[in-house]
Amino acid sequence: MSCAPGEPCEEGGRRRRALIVLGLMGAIFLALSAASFLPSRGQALPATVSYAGFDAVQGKRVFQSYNCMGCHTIVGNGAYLGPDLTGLYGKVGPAWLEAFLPSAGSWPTKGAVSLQLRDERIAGDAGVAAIDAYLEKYPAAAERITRRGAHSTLMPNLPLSRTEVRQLIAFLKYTSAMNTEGWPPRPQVDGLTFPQAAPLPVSRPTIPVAAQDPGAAAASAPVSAAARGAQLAQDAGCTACHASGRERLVGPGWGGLYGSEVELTDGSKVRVDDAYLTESIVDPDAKIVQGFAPHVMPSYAGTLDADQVAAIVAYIQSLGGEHP
Amino acid sequence: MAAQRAIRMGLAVLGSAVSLALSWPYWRDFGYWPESRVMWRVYFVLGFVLAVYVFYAFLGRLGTLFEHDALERAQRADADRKAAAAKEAP
Amino acid sequence: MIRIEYQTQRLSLRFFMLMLVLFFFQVGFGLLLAAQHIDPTLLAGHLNFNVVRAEHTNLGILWVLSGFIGAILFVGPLLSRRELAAPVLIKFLFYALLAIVIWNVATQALAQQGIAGWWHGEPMLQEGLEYLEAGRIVDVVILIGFAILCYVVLRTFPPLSRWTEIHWGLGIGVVALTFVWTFGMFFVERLDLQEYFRWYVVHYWVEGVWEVIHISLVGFLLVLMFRADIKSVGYAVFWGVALVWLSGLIGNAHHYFWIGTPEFWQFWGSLFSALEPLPLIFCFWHVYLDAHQDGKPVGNMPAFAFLLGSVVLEQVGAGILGFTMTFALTNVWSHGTWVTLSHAHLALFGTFGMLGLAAAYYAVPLMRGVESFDQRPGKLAFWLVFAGMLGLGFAFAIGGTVQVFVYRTLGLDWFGGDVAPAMQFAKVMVPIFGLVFAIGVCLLVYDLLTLGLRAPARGDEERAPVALRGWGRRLIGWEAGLWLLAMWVFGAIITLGLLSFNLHSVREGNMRFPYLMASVGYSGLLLTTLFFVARFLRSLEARGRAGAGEPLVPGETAPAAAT
Repeated sequence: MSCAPGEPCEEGGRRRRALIVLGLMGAIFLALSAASFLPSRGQALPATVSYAGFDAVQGKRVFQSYNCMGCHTIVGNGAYLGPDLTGLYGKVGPAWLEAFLPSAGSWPTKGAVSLQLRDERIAGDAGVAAIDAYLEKYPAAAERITRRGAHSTLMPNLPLSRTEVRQLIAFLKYTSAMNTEGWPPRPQVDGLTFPQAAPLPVSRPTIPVAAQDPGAAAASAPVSAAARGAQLAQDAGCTACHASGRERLVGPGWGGLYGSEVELTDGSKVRVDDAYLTESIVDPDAKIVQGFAPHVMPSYAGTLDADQVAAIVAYIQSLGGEHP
Repeated sequence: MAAQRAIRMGLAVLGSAVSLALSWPYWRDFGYWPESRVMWRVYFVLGFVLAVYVFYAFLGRLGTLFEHDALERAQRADADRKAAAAKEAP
Repeated sequence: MIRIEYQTQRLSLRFFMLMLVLFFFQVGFGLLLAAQHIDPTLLAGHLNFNVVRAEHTNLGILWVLSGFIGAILFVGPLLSRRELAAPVLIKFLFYALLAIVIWNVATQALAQQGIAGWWHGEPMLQEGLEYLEAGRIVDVVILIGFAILCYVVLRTFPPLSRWTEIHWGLGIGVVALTFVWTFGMFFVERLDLQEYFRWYVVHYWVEGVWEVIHISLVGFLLVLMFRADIKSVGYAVFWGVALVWLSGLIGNAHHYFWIGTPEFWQFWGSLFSALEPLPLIFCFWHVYLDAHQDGKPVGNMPAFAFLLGSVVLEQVGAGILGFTMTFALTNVWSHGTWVTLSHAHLALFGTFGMLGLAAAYYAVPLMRGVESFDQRPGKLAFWLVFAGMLGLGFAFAIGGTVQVFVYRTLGLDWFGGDVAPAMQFAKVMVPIFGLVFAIGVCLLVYDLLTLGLRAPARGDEERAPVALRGWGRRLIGWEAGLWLLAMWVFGAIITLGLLSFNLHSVREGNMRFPYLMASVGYSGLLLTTLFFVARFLRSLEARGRAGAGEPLVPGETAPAAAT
């Protein structure tokens, strides 16, 4: 019943015409597709972007393995719980990412980022070696440190190895270099100073100092070594991975750690004392406790002096544990 | 019929023109050869013609849908009347 | 009520039941996602958001497919006038589907440990790509499953010379379903190329293949429910499908605006996806006309309610909401925000989910041999689900508008500190409407699972009949056209609101205009949709009374044609 009675039937011709136009459209679509991926366009290629010895293809595999797209968007596609990651590398730079990714549950502090900059490869990739120059070059990293530093994020800690972290950064370096044709649009106002945006007031999180041992706290000097250590631990970014309680964030929790005995990956056992803790801060890969991965923690040698390390050790001691 | 076709064509051109205006890429930079001035012109013309075709086909086929409906309705009414007549006849 | 003529039609029952169970769990995961959006630390480390979301999207796809398979198996013998070919393969398909579901639900959780099961460069267990999260093992099994479906459908169908447009639609549909799936089966190194092919599967599945199956099934269900003329339905199916492809083939380019592909796509994608609502408008009128072909009462109201819901939400969710964000000038703002979520939920659940439910409501009573069943739970469930989904669409759209302003216009990218708090109102609305939806789903699942098995309740006839006045009066073509026009007017308001983000004043931080347009546009659109469906169903209910003896509107005239 495609033709009304008494009229010449044009239905067959119409259908043929529709299919021919459809074929033409298919040809246009394929031609445009072919033109989209020609090398002459100069789009960034993952195989040619590398970071710290890893290329972006390896990073893409890590990105997919952890289903990052299930919370974030990349080139605008994915879920909408977290921010878009496409241009992140260009905004915050490699040192901030190196500090953030292993302990994603906490925003990195200035100390944590500057520690990463001591690595020549990272500094080389960032183009600057000094932290102040870095923060000037990457204002988004500065904003994250001043407004969010040491706060907990809404992202869970992921079991990323240092290799995976670097591969991921290579991938983000690649996406950051991609030409996305003007998306996302560049803001024309500074949201941070925008009156109606009213960013949340930011307060420094407080670190519990020797809460379990009030007697010891009362006996010590006005600003005890432990209190100084607590502040240092936060500023240097230690608290991003180490909880003041017993729970494991990324590294072992410090609560009750002092004086306990831990088993290392080589099977030997070590008692947690001043010497062990000092060594673990200065040369973290010297002894790795079973169940933890090497190369996740950066070395603080040269960042913290002996006094500062001792203060942190005192802080860890104040968090409880058997006294040897 | 000719008038109807002209109206449909007018609507199709209008609809395609509005779509084209909403789709107009205002920020062209002509940097890449498939985005040169000549190619953009080709895209606009080709796109417009195809859009007019799709609109025109849509309007025409929608009209036929209603024509079919009217026809079927008439047939059904006719059949119902006959059935009723057949029932009443004996 | 027709009787089951072909015993193999009964094979569809298990797919409908599986559909209901998967739907139930998908909604559960959805509620969990809504809760995690409010408190992202909820279950963090145990069941991360990305895992829950992967389960939500994958189960969504799987239950829609299960409903499609059920519907195709049910109508297959009717279309072919013979039993289905290879019932053993269909049984195998069912168990394969069941195995896929369980395996996939389990493997998605591996994303928390970053385990993808790389083997020969391909992720075997899960691959962390939106909608295509399933690993390669599942991909292959699904491909085999689709191949089985193709074989069964094509072997069951009559010889090619006797194919009507509905045969062609379903035949091409199942073959393309299989073919397009293969584009998602390769690890692609380049992100732009990977996204290019990912949208082949997602877009061409949804807008090309599913849509074709949808149009064909809607057409045939109309033939079954209203005894519509198969030839004129065939005409509508052909042109519906042709228009879907004429607009959607290049329309796919609306996914290629910002993924790193050249800017010529912005023109092609905008222009052709602006045409994508045309087939949906066509389908809308086709359903309207066929539902009003004869003035007889509708025997199975829940089935028709879901069928109407499917076509109307397709119009609103896919057609109008899709249209508002499909131009490069509006998409540059909506892309990657909650604005797209309202479109995705209304379009996917509305169009395809509701079709599966409609088919189930049509087929299950027939297969269980129920002459007449209590239709009230089904109708109530429809309203809860329908209103809940419209509310969800509203919450997502409003949250999205705020997100666009805070995230894009102001450039604030601290989700925990700036963006999420600004969206808090909408984030709380989501689980509220989600709960309404979930209650509807529980009722629906219970009703369909036990229909014909539980003790029959009082019949529907005992209720006071609906009067043929007011909202129960006959819905004529002009009125339906006005409703449709009203929806599009609100759609235009939404589009202008999104366009206004380009204005200098808005970019300088004055959000009043886009916020006003969004609140008027979205609430207007969704309320119009709600009232239109209420009006449509009410008029059909009243027809039941007319069929029981009262004459229809005197001087029964054809609704005024659009031209």
